[in-house]
Amino acid sequence: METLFANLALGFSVAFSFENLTFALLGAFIGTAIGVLPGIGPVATISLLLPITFGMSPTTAIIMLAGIYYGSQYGGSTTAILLNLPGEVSSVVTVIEGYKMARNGRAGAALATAALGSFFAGSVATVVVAASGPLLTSVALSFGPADYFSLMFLGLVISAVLAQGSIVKGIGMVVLGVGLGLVGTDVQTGQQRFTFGVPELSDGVGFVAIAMGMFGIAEIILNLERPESRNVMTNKVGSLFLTREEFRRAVPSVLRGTALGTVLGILPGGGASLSAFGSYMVERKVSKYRHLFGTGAIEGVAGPEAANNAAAQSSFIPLLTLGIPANAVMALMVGALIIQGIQPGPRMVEAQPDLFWGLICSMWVGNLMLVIINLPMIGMWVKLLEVPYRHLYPAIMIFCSIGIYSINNNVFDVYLMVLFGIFGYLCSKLKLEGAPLLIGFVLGPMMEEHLRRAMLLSRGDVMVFVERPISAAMLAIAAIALLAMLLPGLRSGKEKAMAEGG
Amino acid sequence: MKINQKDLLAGLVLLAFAVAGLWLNLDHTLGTARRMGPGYMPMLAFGVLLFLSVTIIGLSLFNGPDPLERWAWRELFLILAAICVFGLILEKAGMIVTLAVTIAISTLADRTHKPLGVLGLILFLVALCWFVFIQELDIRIPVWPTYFGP
Amino acid sequence: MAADLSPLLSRRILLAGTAVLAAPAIARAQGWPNGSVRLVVPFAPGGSTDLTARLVADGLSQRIGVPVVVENRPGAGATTGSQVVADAAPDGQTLVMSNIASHAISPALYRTIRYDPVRSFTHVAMVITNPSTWVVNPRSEIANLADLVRLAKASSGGLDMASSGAGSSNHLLMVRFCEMAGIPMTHVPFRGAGPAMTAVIAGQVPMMSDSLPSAAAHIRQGSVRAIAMSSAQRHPAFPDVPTFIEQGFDLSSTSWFAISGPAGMDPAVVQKLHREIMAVIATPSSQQRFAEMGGTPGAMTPAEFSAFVAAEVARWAPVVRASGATVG
Repeated sequence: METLFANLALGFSVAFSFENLTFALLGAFIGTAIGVLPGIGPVATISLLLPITFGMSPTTAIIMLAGIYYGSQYGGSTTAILLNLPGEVSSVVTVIEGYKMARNGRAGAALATAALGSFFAGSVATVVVAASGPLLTSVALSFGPADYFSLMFLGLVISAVLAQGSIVKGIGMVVLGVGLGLVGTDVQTGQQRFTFGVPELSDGVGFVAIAMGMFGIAEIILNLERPESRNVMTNKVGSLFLTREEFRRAVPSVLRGTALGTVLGILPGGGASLSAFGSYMVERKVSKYRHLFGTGAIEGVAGPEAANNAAAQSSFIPLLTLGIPANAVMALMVGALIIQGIQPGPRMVEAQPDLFWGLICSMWVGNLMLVIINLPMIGMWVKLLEVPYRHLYPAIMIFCSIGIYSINNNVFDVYLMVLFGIFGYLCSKLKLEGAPLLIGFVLGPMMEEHLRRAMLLSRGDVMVFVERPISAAMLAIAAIALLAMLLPGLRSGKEKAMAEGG
Repeated sequence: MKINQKDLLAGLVLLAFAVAGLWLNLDHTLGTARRMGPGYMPMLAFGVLLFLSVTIIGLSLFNGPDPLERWAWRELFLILAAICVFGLILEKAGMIVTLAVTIAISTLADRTHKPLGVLGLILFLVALCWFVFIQELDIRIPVWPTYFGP
Repeated sequence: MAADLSPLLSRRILLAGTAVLAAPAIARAQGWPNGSVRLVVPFAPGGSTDLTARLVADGLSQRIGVPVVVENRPGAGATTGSQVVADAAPDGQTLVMSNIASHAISPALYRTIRYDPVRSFTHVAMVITNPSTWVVNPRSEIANLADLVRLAKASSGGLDMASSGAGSSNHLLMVRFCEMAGIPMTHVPFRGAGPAMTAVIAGQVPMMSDSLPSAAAHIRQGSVRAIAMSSAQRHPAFPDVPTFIEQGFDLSSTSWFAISGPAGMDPAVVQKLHREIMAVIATPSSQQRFAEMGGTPGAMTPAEFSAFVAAEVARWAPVVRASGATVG
């Protein structure tokens, strides 16, 4: 414990130096700005900014890059809440209740919940990383391919619960998403699948093209066809901040989301993306206000936002202790460190204690900065909703178009977005939902990869999935969740489904 | 029988994807359970989708009525056409011209727009995009026309 | 939507500043460079190709006085970005970070490829080469290649061998080895070197073949043990690790990162660019970083480099066929 405090003291002395504080603020600010712009993600920005970090000290450089990462996560939820535009996997879930809250005139409350929930989760996760980071590495290492497969399978089963209406249609969309995720080059053999010879599809369908098409573009058309509903937002802007009631409801969700996100974030590859909607599922099943889900329940914003931020924090554990990046942003940070002549890994804690502990403390400082930057901006964001929709939609449209083009500098992605715009519109007319499809899209390929690897290593023995305790536990939970979802449907049919779906 | 038209059509859409997926998957080797080929997982996924879509179609025959809604063809066409035009001319006409054309087409989708307002909107958004994407983010995108003539 | 992004300005000022300071020092041959130079990296940001490109771009822009902008165009085994450059005007303003995947292996792997790795490009300068290294879990009983062969022969269905992906140079090296040693193998491909390394550290897979830059730190930390190096001689940074040849397998392989432009570039521009790139990689700071990554700075004239690419293409095509991996 004493060493922990000594380490944290060292960390804070680094994080609170004027230079590092400035760059943490700068990073958080840039991150928020690019998170708000659809399509321009942290990977593009960090790779653009990498050259200026060459001239900084390694600690300062990584502190700024980490700031961009959290900032963009936070900025992403802002557009998800205000404009129904999810830029990343985590904000797909925020869209579901957050955008409904905005339509109910509670955009300010949703944004404040996201900011405060993220800050709380970030603070807790920072302490966890500091106290037990090196220990938790063994958790990541104890997950074999069979365990990952079962975790992904559990994720897919529970993602069907994201559907507001029929469970069968929800599962159908999950599975369709899995199918879409299989488009592209097969990792194991290098064969092209479902690409129709289009080179742009050889790396798969872009997540952002699907998300922007099905959510952003389809929503524009839906709003244009019902002029009466689109001014609802402007007329009903209520109090900017959380009411006492909303605050009381959000607290338990934030606590649950933080715990879930911290644990899942440790798992490299997929853990962090599971955390947000895992938390949504938990809230929808255990919250006292679960009957309000689908109509703009604050729990559905508070839990996932906290989980997402906690996971973003704890996903630094495999990076800092093993030197293995959990996602593309982390890979860039490793790159930045290597360019500076530092290799992340177990020895970094001893070799570069100021860097290690400074980074951990600056995570907390970065989260604080985000709250400081964003709380005053909520008023401004909500004002954005008062812009008449006929002026807003061309702006959303061109920002999406430029954003999607800039990802690969390729117009093919623009057409792909159009295609998914049509599909999204069709789906909303048929009450098929986009969120389960996107989750299936993200988890499906990972599930395939782990399934094939597990079977390869077990020499074709299926028993590996039940013999390993972690895997067996995941499968058991999945089975129970599936039964719990299907049973009420069989028992009392439609009334129950209506009551739950809202 | 109370047919749920929405669910029926939803089931048919999913069925179409499942059948198309299974058909395209004929090109891929299935492999064995131990060494799964590229076709193994698609077979599982689209097989399950086939089962689910038939279930949805079956249920839709009883859990209606839920009639289909009218489609906003005009808005759908104009918005998507605007984005397609963006893709078609961006790399030749550059960002400034492309944005002006795209915004102009998209404003046709809302009948309350007035010509002067559209002009103002174009000027404002082009300036904003230039500032954000070119001046600040400096993304790799052509700004001015690079190609004249046919 | 418009938040004030002015802090981002600093980068532009920085670039402009270096440009202004460096410009007078340079005699501009044949009007090159004319504005900023694009360096296309055919991989996603963060990998070793990307890192190398950024190191070179940074040094090069200071020397030639214009910004050298790295542009990531990943996809299709590094062929997407290479195609873009093959189609660009040969004015020296568009360059590609050519490498063993895009210019040696993928042409044999991808049937739909439209460029010729030799004739569609002007090959300018080799930047860095590095060997592959085979690593095992430190608790494993494998101490050398002989152990590996013995274990593989005793196993049912071959030894599990991990790599960063099907058709990667590391995978193909294992294919060649197993052919030579006459042992069966079970190739376990991963999505990138990171996850494969995790699996080796966790003991899920006994060994992997990895590029030295991504494995170097793990070897130094002792989280994995290196049993063989694919260079012709022992690597100066890892003098304890024997080569394949020393262990009785006549096998050497190096992956490489280089700079190429579209076919038909002005020879004067090629010469000047080659000279500047060589100067960049000769600086002590570049040398130090390359050494830390386990790489050897390139030293080839443009003509030698062109011949090298042709030899690489001829060398890898039969190996790709033997591996059974094909694409589209």
